[in-house]
Amino acid sequence: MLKFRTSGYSGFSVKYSSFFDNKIAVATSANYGLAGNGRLYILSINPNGQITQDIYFDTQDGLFDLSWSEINENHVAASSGDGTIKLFDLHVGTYPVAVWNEHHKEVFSINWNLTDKSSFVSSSWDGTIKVWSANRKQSLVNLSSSSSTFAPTTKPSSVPLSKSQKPGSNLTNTQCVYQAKVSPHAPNLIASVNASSRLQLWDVRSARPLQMDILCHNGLEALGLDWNKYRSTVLATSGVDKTIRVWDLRMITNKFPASHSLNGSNSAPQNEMVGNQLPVRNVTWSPHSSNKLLSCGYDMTARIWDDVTDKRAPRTINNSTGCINSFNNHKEFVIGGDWSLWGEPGWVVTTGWDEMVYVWNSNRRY
Amino acid sequence: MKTTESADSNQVFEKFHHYDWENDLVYQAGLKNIYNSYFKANTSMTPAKKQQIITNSKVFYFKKTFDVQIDLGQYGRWVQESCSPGFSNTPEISLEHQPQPQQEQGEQSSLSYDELVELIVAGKEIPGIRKIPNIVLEDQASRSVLSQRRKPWEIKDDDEKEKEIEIEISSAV
Repeated sequence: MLKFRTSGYSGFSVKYSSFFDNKIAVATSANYGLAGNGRLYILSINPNGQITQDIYFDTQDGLFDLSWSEINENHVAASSGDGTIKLFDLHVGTYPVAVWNEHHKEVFSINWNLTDKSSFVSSSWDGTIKVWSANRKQSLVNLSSSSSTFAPTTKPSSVPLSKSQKPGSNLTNTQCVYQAKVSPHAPNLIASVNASSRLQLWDVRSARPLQMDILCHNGLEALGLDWNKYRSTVLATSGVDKTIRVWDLRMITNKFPASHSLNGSNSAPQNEMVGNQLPVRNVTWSPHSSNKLLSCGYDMTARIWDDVTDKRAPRTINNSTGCINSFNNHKEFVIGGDWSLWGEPGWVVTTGWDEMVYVWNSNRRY
Repeated sequence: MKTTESADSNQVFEKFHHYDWENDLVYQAGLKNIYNSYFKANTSMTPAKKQQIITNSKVFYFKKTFDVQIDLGQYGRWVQESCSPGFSNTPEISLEHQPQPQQEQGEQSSLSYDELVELIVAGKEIPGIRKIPNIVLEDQASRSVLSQRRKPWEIKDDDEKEKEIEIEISSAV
């Protein structure tokens, strides 16, 4: 286990480079992201087991997510609480080399398109999802997540922003699109999750881009999302209801159940992983295996799950044996995590509000 | 004699400390020059070194514009003494904050979540927020020299396709 302290800054997101074996970037915010500056760290994992800081970039507002560029090894895009997205260059330092400013509120997620590679997608508390080209100042596509949803179906938010905070005293609203990600198999397909408990699917080529809109976490906020890298129709989501759910788009026959009933019932997931004591913030499928999943939780654990959907009985949910490892070294909420793309499979990195970055082997117990 | 001198330098330091660098277009233009000509050529320069150069540029600008020489050593001590609670400080030009000693930074943010919420609700100033200049170095982006790598799942896909082709070939033969 290797570690690095982001002193004075709470970790919100951490990602491995798409080019370098040993580089990671960490998006952080001072004061838990409520007020104050942000800082993007670029770190190197050295052969001697030390994590060292290559460079950092300070921003006026807190940073909530980041994505390494897929076309330039020196570029990292970071999304900020002030609605901006900034592109930083490892060789330039201090200030960004590009800024995109269209979102009206916090930009909570940013993810590069893994197949198109010239574009990326962002999602915001302003209720929109935007597709951008790295070469253009204006967004290419603007999708409104909230117009398609019915606010009354949503129960009051209870994402705890601190372990000492009482549920219900929320600071969020139902518009938030917590995450949006482009499919790693189809460059025009975007999945998103929002505070209205919806999992939405978008095809940006279509005149009516919204392809699916289902209630995915019992009316409670849906926080995390990822596409499976090996099974192109499979997605995982996580939420305030403390569960992780696995969905197979082929099996969801009613793509718009919410439009028929204000209380739109849950569609049936393929699998459900239960065990977290508090909401699950983030889920990430392994790049090396079709069934391994990393989760980051408000219960201060990062967990490794095995999605053991039974092939002989595919609609049987097997949630009792899912959790195969739990990392308990974080002392506060675990917010961001990623799998190492290169080298020996199984290494992951996690970060959280304890101002710590841990690099650890998911095949070992700590 | 000594008291008047220190009173004077207090005033000077105060002016320097609170000077509106962000909105001084002449200074900002000069700063941009520093970035373009100096930092661009020295990509290996540490953030601490850059901060030092920026601080020096402010001292230089003060001397040139107001004919006032700032002694950075004395200024640093003055910042430490004066920047008690209630005094809005700008750590970016305080030499004491280089090169980011970890403990100090950690303590700085050690407000608990609840303390922080109290400050926000009461509309009070949150300590330690720095002003970051809104500068974009658009023409300085570096070019990519590395070729794109295939992701692990893309490599496996290709391997499987090759195997399928091999099987097809072997069955055809």
